[in-house]
Amino acid sequence: MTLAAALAFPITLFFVGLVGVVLRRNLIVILMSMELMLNAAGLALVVFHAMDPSPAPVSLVLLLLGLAAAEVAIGLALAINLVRLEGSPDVDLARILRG
Amino acid sequence: MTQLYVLFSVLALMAGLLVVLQRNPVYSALSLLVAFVAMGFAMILLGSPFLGAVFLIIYAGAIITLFLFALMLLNLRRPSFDFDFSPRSYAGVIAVGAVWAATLFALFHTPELQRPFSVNASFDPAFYRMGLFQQYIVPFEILSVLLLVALVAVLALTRKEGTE
Repeated sequence: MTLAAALAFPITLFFVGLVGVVLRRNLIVILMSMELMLNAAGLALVVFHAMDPSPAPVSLVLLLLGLAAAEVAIGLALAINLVRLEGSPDVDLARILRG
Repeated sequence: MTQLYVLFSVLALMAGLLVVLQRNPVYSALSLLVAFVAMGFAMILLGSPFLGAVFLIIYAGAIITLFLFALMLLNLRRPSFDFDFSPRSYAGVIAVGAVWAATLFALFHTPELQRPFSVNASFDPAFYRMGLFQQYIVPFEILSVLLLVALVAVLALTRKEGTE
């Protein structure tokens, strides 16, 4: 297996998440797909680290964990607000930029 | 090692497809759990057992629980959260597929990436020390501020109208 073949899996996983963001309308499922994309990027960094060990990829994956935690907290708060306003987490219902 | 990595990657891909294609968001969350566990094991097999363990604890433990908690809290009765079957959505999926194909074409035609893959890494705490506390100390501090801002933002967002 070449390095390119090992990288093909995280890249494909990233695009699966992107299809989810494009195809779904439920804000919570869109957030799950975004988590999938973020973690596919992290897995690609770990593949590079496995081939050539260095401090950069593992530190970036740890920073990514914190970033994803902040992102999912705000995203779920937005989803709860959307359900409270419109009765459904459908992103097409979000038309106004205030709570 | 690399065969097992392929196995767990294929498992993560299939679970990721299920996240996207399941109609019920609770099933999506459970498929996401399978995908995260598979990715955590893939990280362990790639010579980063600490990252794999942190990944399993935080994602498979905390974040999935957060998603399921939000789904249970919202208690959605009307399944209005279906797929977007409009032409713009099909165009988006076709565009994503085209970009994916182009990325894979570039990936398999870059000479530097055609080296045989082998796992050379092993767990070394010095990597984390050098990375987090020397090389990336500024992003690390920015991340702590970002988490504080996210905390305040979530409190502000979920505050009910009229309550102070």
